[in-house]
Amino acid sequence: MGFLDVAVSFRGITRGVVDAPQVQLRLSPDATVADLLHSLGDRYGPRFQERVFAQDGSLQSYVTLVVNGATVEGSDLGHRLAAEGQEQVEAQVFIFSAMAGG
Amino acid sequence: MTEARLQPGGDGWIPTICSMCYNQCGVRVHRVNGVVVKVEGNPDTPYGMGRLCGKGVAAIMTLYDPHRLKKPLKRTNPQKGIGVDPQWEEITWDKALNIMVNKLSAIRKDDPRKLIIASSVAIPDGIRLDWQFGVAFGTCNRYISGASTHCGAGEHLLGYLKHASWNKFADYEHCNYLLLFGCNAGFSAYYSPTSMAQKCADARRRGMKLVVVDPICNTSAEKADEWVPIRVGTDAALALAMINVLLNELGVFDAAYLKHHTNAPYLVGEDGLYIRDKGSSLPLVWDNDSPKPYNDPTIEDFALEGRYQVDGQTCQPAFSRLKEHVRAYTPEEAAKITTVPAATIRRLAQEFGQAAQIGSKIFIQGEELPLRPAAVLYFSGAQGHKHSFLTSAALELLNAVVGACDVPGGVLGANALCLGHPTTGLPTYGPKEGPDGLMVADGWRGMRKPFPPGRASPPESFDLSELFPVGIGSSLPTVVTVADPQGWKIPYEAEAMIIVASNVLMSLGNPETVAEAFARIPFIVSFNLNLNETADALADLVLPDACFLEKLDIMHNRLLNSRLPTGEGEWALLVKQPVVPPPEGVRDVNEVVLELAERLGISGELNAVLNVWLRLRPPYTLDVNKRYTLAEIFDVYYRCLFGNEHSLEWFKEHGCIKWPKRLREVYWRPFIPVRTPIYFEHFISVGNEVREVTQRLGLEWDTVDYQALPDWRPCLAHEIKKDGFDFYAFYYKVAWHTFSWTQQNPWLDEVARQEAWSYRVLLNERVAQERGIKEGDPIWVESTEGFKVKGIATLSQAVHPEALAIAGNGGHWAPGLPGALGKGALGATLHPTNFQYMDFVSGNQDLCAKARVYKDKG
Ligand code: SF4
Repeated sequence: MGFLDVAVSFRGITRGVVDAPQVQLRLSPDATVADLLHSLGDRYGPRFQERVFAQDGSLQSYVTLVVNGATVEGSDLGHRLAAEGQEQVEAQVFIFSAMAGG
Repeated sequence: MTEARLQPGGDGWIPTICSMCYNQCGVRVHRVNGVVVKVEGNPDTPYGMGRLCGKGVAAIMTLYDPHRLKKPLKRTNPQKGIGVDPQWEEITWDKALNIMVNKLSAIRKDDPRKLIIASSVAIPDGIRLDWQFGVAFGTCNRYISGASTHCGAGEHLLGYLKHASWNKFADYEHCNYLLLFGCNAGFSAYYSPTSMAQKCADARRRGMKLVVVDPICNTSAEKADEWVPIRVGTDAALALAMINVLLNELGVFDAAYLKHHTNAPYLVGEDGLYIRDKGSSLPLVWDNDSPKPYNDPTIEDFALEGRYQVDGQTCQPAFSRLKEHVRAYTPEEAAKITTVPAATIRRLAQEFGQAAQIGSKIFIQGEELPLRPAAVLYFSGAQGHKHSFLTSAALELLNAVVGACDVPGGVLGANALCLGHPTTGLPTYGPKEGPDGLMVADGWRGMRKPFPPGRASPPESFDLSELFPVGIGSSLPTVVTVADPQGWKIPYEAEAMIIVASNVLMSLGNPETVAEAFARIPFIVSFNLNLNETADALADLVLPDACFLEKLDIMHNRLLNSRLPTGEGEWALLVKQPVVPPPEGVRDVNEVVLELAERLGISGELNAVLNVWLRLRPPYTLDVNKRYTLAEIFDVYYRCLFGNEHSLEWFKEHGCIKWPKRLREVYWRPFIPVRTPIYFEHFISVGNEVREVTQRLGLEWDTVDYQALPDWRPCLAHEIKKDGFDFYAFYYKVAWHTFSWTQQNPWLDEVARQEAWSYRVLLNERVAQERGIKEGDPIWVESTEGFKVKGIATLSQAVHPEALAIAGNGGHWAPGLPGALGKGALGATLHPTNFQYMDFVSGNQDLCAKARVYKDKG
């Protein structure tokens, strides 16, 4: 059984949520978006979890995840990060601010 | 467009977008010998349908305002504040940008959140590069000044929850009975006014009855069949009493709509929460003597009423709860609160219920659809109060109980569903099923969606957005928290602020309070057309921005659900293009932001953010390793949406792309299996979470309005009893001014000087005479908090006797705005600008103050 190397870039409002703009993770080959986010949640703690997940466990509306150039739907956390046999994946986690607007 | 062709850089009629307010009407501008000589409506676009309001016509005077800024300015007097001479020094752009880059580099290295970016509700949202720059820079502190003062944080929240859209309109094609609460939709202000005024006028000609509930006989009331004067800030009591009459006296409600399209049948326990299925956790409903998950395909009939036992718990359908809840709002009780007679309340309810024609159908383009030709609309006047969410929910439930939601004749969320251009299928968005079967809207223009609710967390942003998990956001908290970040547990202090096209002293509340708070920020930059009050009092650098007729910009498709006219018609996206170059020394803020990003080394971040913000898809994405001009970014954006042949150049030539709306896009309700709440169950758990976080941190925060069913609650002004203070002073908008921005425009100033509202304080003739006040008398309005504003009295019989209405955002004092100087009054001066005057759910600002009025003796 192999591994999937995931290069995660954090973009936008990440200060106070993560400590570095990039991180390298090693996940199982069939890892999903949820696995990635939970793994990041374990690493960065409640601050990350509160900012990224909505009450029902989906992505907060101002968080966007781009995996290998394609945007992942906020509720599609079961989406697999990599195709069969793929060993490396690039993911970008964008945290926009919940900007005040009217 | 036939004659509206321009040889690039030459004369002719040039299609572009009006930006004298946020509505983005399509215009064509006549340029002769390199000079703009006329701005008129562009009949080739649905944005305005060739109509232009007075502000659009007057745009030429803003373009050629001799008092526009032409050079960057640097403050040399380190002291800041209202009335302090900044001792400006003219500097070059290069020097100005060097100063900015030095400051911003240091801040970004230390903590990017220390930068605040303030934009404006007054300017239309194109690319809004300042926002995206903020995200790329890494600050969470971006807000739109005026959001919460002028705008509809409560109304937009309900727009999302009930109609999948930012704002909404009556379906003027089929509506027969329109009830407006504190709102001029279809008459002057609100959204798409130039197009919707035509649709509304056509509906009136067709026979649509119009009833306007408002403390003053406003622009729509003066054209209505009936004006119902109401005590300021009591609209929710009237709405709840009308619902009571409909449900409990007349038995009028749309059972089929409530059963199949709302959470009305969901069973609610004594704790107010849904009763859930043990296995699936889905909310239960009652059907034929047994509970079932709401989506069980075997359900024959959803019970809307009754009391049931499920697993030893007593429960009842949400609709039953609503019915019982509103019983307390008898017309007689509501009459005491609102001053609207009980008989009028009963009659309005009966007329509205009857007009809705529950059960009726209509055939349109061969499709049979429900017909509910009655609608309630509301905006700032009704919901610009302390309990904005509760008021908006109460008003919205009137539409819901009769099923007048997103079907012919009823209230339509503005362009809530888009299936895209026929050739590309883009843009595409629409309502979808979310948790508990409730609707989640896509294409929503705000960054934060009210549902599924976010999670409350300790404050990290000056706007305290972490404490508004269902709110769309508000600008008010920034004034409070910048002054005391530690007290609000914000882990840093503000170090810099960039203000774009905004005059924050005139749009956030009491100017003294705002100036005092923001004077603590060490470095402030203002991009603007003129040297306004904020620049004068607070800015360290002032940078001359281009006028919209000198700018290149896109129309972002996120705005389809707030700017494009609602109802049948066409989809369209326009382009904003420079009609004339900016004067020497003036630069478009978006160009400057691109340069700033480059100098700060964050262009790649900005490109990455733009890819997401503009929803760019391969092959039309921006390379993070490349630098782009504005024109290149906009070219990619338009090609991505409409195919390679629709380049920026194509848009500049044609001005507009459009295609017909499909019937299912306009009346989407029957076609999309989602439910909307009539019972806001999730607000209970959100409120508990906000309470837990704020209590843990020792923050004083009121969570009482997080409730599942609305009530009327008094504003502070209703509770204050002080001898002689017997008026409710409030602010209202006039159609010929955009907030605090346009008083400097000489044509608009001339209009305002010739009528009796813009620069005056409006009060009831009889009441004024009792106080010896005559038409044209100089008067003082003083709030119970001791704040005062001077104005000129204008008297009318068509004003509620307790109302004191102050129009617009006048009272300018900046020498850089000589045309506006001293004209009108600023109503927000009467407020202390604190959380006592804020709705803790939506963040909306309460704009009524208890006040007294007396003649100026001087
Ligand atoms: S409503 Fe008036 S000011 Fe606003 S965009 Fe349209 S024409 Fe311009």
